[in-house]
Amino acid sequence: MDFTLDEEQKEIRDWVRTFVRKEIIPLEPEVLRRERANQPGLTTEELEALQQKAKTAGFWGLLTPTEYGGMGLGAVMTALIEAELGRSFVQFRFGGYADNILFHGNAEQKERYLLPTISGELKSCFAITEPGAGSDAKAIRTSARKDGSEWVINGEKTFITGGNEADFVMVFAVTDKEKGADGGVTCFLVDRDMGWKSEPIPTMGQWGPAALVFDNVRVPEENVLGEIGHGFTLAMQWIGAGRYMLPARAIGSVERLVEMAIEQANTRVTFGQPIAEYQAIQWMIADSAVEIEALRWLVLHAAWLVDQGKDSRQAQSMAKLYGGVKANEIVDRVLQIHGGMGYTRELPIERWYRELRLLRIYEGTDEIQRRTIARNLLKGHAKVSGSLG
Amino acid sequence: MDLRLSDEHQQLKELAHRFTEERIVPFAQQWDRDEAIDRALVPRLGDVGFLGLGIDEEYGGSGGDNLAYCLVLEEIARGDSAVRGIISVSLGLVGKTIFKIGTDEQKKQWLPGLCAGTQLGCFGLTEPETGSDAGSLSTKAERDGDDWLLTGRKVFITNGTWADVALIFARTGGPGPKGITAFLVPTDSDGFRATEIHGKLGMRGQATAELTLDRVRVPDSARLGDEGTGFKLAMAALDRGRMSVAAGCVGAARGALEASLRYAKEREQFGKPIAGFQLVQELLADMAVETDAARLLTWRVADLADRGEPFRTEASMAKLYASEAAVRVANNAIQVFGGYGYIDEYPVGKYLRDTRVTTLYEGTSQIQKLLIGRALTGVNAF
Repeated sequence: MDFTLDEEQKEIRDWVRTFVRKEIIPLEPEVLRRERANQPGLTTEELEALQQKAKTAGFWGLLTPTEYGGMGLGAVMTALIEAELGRSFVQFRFGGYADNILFHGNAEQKERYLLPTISGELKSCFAITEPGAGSDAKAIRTSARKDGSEWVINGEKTFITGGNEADFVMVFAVTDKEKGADGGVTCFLVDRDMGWKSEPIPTMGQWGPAALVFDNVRVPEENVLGEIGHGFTLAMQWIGAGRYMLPARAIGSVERLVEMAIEQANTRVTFGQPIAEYQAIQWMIADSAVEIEALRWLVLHAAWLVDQGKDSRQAQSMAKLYGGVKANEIVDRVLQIHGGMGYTRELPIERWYRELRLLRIYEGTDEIQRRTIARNLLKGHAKVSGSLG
Repeated sequence: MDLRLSDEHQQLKELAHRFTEERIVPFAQQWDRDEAIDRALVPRLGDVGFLGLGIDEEYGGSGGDNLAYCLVLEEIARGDSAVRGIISVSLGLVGKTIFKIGTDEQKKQWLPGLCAGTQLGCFGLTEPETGSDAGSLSTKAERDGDDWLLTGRKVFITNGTWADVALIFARTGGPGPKGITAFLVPTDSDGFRATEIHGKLGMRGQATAELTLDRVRVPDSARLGDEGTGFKLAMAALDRGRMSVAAGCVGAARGALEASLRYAKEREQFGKPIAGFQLVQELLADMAVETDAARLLTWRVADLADRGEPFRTEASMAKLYASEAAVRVANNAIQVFGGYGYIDEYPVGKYLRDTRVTTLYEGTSQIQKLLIGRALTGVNAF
């Protein structure tokens, strides 16, 4: 048993922490100002400039295998890095990333889609969710019909992250209605100039997803990703692979928020003393700290299982569920400790408050995580604490 | 980072599991009704080494690290928290404190018996007027020649009527924590009286007592540690104690969850097992998440302690989280069992009654929050 980080892990984490402190956090006031004027917080050029800066220090393609020029880091290391990035609300990510399922492409697809995605020349998006199929992803109705050497895609996708910016989409469509998700769904790589349209969806947070429309979009048959009919497996692989990363990022956010709360508690004076002197305030801080610690170990445990090549689905669902629920409780307490100021746009807390709400919804709602966890236990796929010890 | 158990730890865990299945689970309900475990169990716990964990073999101990201790306590508490509590107090609070602080003579006098389970220890800190505010205790120890005379009352003392030695904290100096000294008092001393407290909500298998000391005479060689260091010594014992309570809570939560899973699959309503209803699944899923989170927090404390790193705040976090989680999990288990959970034919009511005290003793949840809040803000809000 060893709960410690090794020297290399600490070194990498500390580098990212410094990068966030020196390069990202100073941008916050300007990012906040722009977002409140309905502009992107960071322009694409600014994001890429930051990514290049990180690249010169070797931070490029955290999860991308080394043969593709990436760092090939494990899940534990990635989780630790995500936590550091989560300390700022600025939407920064390191460059050199490509969706895991693009690595399943054939040689030509890798050349045309994977490599340009890694290098940043092309932007991808992943589209399974539809107006009538969210948690119940198997209910998708977007269809692909074979016509000569082409497929003709019709349907609507919604809440697609990056859908407005993407150059191509990994879209999931029904190719065999009888079989449905069980062998009848196929994944297609579809360039924007093949004719799909996107429309931004305004949200209560900064997450700006898109609705996609496919109206007789014709796709050459060589653009099928993986095998025909095996799309649902790919979709689940995409969703399941990095579930731990969302709560990992939340660790950094709630740590920063609680640090703000401590600072506020020690400086804000009411009735002649700092509010930190009041037990009611201390308890909110204490409860938050305990829950952050619990979350940290649920996340690192899930990531550690991924690195061990063990079945991590149960642990990832637990981390995702707990992270979503607790991040929302913690940001609420931090806002409470800041009182009226926390409610204003003078401080970024209300921004975080709105953004963290999403964590309980996307990539599997709380309810879907609970269903997964309970089913795994009831069907014997997971033992009670079976993955521990 | 490596969250695997070593083969040695795994074997110990399995031994504790088998011991619990054979010697505790079949009897726990009856012991609970009788308000006493079969005391013949205590030397059996000694035989397998569970009462000597962390103590050197030269004093009759069985060695092992803090993680080993946590693994055993989890398994035992899964069967009966009352038995876990007997170990936590006799070994964890008393035996380990003697082992850390005691003179060679004191260790030789008490440790072999405590480790073998032929003797038990109790920890006398709490008094009728001083619970959370233990630093204000009023039991007195006065010099009388080379001896000390101890007078006062202690309450809620686990193992109180069964113990052979009582670790008593008494005031030898001025007011406050710095005026307190620890003594190892044989319970057959003149003037020492233990009266069992009946009617506890839970933990009924263990004997909880009120102690009365009326000019109990002990030699200066019974003093544990230097004069005035008693409170510090008690707090150090409770830091480790919090880890052991947390480990016990993980075991109780696990037991409640396992029972609920079995029942949810068997019990049918509206023509299908209740496991098929989402509101039941929500209960089960939340129980599983909290149990795993509690275990990770507990093992992290053990890992820190085994590395010789400070673990005080982390122990408070683990104890606070695991105890509150265990109560919620046990309460959820009753909800899964419905009316059957409310009667003691089924095990889950006992889990709730037993775990309920864990948010109270060895530092209430409120005290843990103040300790954690102080560590984070640097401000003492006591």
